[in-house]
Amino acid sequence: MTAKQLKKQSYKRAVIFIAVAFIVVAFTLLRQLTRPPATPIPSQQTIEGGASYQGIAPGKSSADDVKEEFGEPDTTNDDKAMFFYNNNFSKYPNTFNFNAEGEVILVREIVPVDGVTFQQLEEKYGKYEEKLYSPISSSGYDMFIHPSKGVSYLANETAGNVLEIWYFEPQSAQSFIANIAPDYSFAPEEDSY
Amino acid sequence: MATGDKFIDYYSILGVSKDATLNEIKKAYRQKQRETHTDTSGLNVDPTALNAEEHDIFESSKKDKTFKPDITMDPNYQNAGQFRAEHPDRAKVYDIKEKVRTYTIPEQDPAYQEFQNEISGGTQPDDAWGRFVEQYPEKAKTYQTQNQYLEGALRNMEIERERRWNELTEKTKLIGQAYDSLNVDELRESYDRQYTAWQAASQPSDSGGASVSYGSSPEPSSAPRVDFGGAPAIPGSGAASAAAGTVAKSVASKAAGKAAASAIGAALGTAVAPIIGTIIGSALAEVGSRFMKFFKRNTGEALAFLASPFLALNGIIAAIAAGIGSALGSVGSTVGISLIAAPLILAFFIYMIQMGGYVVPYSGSATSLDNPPDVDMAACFELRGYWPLPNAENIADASQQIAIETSYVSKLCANGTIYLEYQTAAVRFGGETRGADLIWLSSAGTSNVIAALITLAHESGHVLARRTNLLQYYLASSLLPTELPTAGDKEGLICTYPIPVTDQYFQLATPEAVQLKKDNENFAEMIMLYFSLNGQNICRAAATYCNCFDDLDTDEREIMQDVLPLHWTFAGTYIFN
Repeated sequence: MTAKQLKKQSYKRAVIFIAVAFIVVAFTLLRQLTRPPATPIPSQQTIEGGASYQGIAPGKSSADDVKEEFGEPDTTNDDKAMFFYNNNFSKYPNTFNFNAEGEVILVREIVPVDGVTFQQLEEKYGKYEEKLYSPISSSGYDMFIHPSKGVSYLANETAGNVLEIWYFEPQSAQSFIANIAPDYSFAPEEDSY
Repeated sequence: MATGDKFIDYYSILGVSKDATLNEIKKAYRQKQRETHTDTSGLNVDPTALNAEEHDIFESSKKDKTFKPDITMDPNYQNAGQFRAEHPDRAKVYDIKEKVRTYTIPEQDPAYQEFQNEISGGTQPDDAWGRFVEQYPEKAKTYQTQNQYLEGALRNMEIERERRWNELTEKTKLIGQAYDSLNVDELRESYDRQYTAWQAASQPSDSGGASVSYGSSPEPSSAPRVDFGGAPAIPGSGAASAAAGTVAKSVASKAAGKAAASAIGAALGTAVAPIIGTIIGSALAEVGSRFMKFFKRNTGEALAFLASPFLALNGIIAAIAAGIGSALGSVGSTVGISLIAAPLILAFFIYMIQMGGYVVPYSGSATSLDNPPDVDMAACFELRGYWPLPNAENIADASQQIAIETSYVSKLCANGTIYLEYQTAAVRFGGETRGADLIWLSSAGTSNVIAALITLAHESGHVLARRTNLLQYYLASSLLPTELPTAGDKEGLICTYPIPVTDQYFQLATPEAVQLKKDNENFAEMIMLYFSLNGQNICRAAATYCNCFDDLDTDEREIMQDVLPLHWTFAGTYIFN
């Protein structure tokens, strides 16, 4: 093999090497560009603070804060872990639940007839992250939750009316069911008559 | 009460003298009501269903109000094993009640369902039926044989049942009218004036002169009579069954002809067409080969080479010919198989009809296979999917009763059709609301008109809640919970609601959820109680269902106006107005 032939062969090898390298780099770049951006699972995501009800922030406010804001409760449960404040528009009272340390863990706000609508809440908080079946799902009322925002509402999506708004410390949907709403679930209940 | 020149003697209807006290009238009314009520009058009881001991137990149980219509509704029921262990005597009564309930209605009999499931699962119908006869000889006798189904035995039973149903309904209606007219002093005085005048004019004797036989409801003149529940009675099967037989024979004959034709088609398709294709292909290949040999022999290799494209062309043609042959074969085969399958499927359905897989309707087309059946649905209800005809007719009647309440229907139906699906296996009790436009109903929930009305009215209440904000109005009312009639462990529930909400069945953990659940079911139950059947309040038409109203105190409260005045007003104001 002459020197000229050897030189020509080495050129060939270099060209092949460069071509392969180019293809590998291009392919890698293309994959990076076309890969969808990693999105966190909404139900696992939490935000700072969370929603609050008239200055009462679950996880931060205490029973004393509630009393200061709303006065003495109309009734309490036996171990004073729940305060009830009657409404003049419903037999259902607004409810505050506390943990052993006296911190608010849940506020249940009763919504009057013709009060805030499902659509208005969706405009305020965005599209709900999870839908849970409720004890009254047979009548179309489900629990629509924003676990990362610490708010949910028991509402009829079809008719648009809302029965209750719940405020709680931001947490996952699973944790919400386990700690706050044991009667609500991802699967519909069997509900024969 | 006088209607034209016809006067109905209400004293005679209730079987009391004109001097009877109000208390005697009430007692007589209750007694008569029990005698004529479709649930307690033995309408469904086949005399061969029970032995003497069972019959006595059954009769006694009817007087015991602590027994619910179904074992699963008993307050002590958690599961069958536990209940049978702890309450063996009561379990026995429930077993007898169940036996009576299911004995003459195959669609409600789990054993018969099992028999049908076997056939669906691929077991030969004869084998399955043989096993059924061996295991349940008495039931097999009652259900008749497969031919008797087709020839009208069941049809006759249905006609008889319908006749008796109408007769009882008529009696119940008259008894209700008599009670309404005689149990209030002012009304009774008004009635007595007409009564005295009528007696003076046409009834001089002191016998009470019952001029109206309230067992005189029109009997279908063309209806063939049969010994209800007795030995098979084929002769009365009538024209419908003859037509059924003729149609079946005609269909079977046509099916046989089609089967023969299809066999030829299949043979042609699967065998002949590929052979023809192969012959054509082979012939073309042979031509090509000879052509090649001719060139080689006469022109040498060089020219043969030139001729090779012709050979290639020859091969392509041969391949195309073979392909066409094969395609013809496939088409022929498919057509042939279809022609064979169609009559086989048809024959299977005819056989299923003969086996009683589809109950021959007692009205309309004798061999109708329409499903859902073409029944007269009212309001915005529409049947969807498979429905047994008797259940479909019951639910159609119920829908017509609901349609009478036009204000209710206008609210309920504003968002369009509500579909009703028959879902026995998936529904634990009578019915279940599955969406804003779908209700599931079970066999038990549609087994007679009253059950159908109760179930459909309740479930329609849930649909109304889904479609409007009326449930929110109801929950907001602070008045309602204070006047609920409750019984036993159903605290906080209207007592006619059959399942305790605190039952583990619902598995609710918090009192707040239990409260919501109770209110939600009360809303639907309130709507159900507002309805009437043929102009009679549902609690009068279905006295057994509303028994718990009478348990509440001694004032003989029995209907919604008396027991739930606030609910009555709420329903009348917000829902039915």
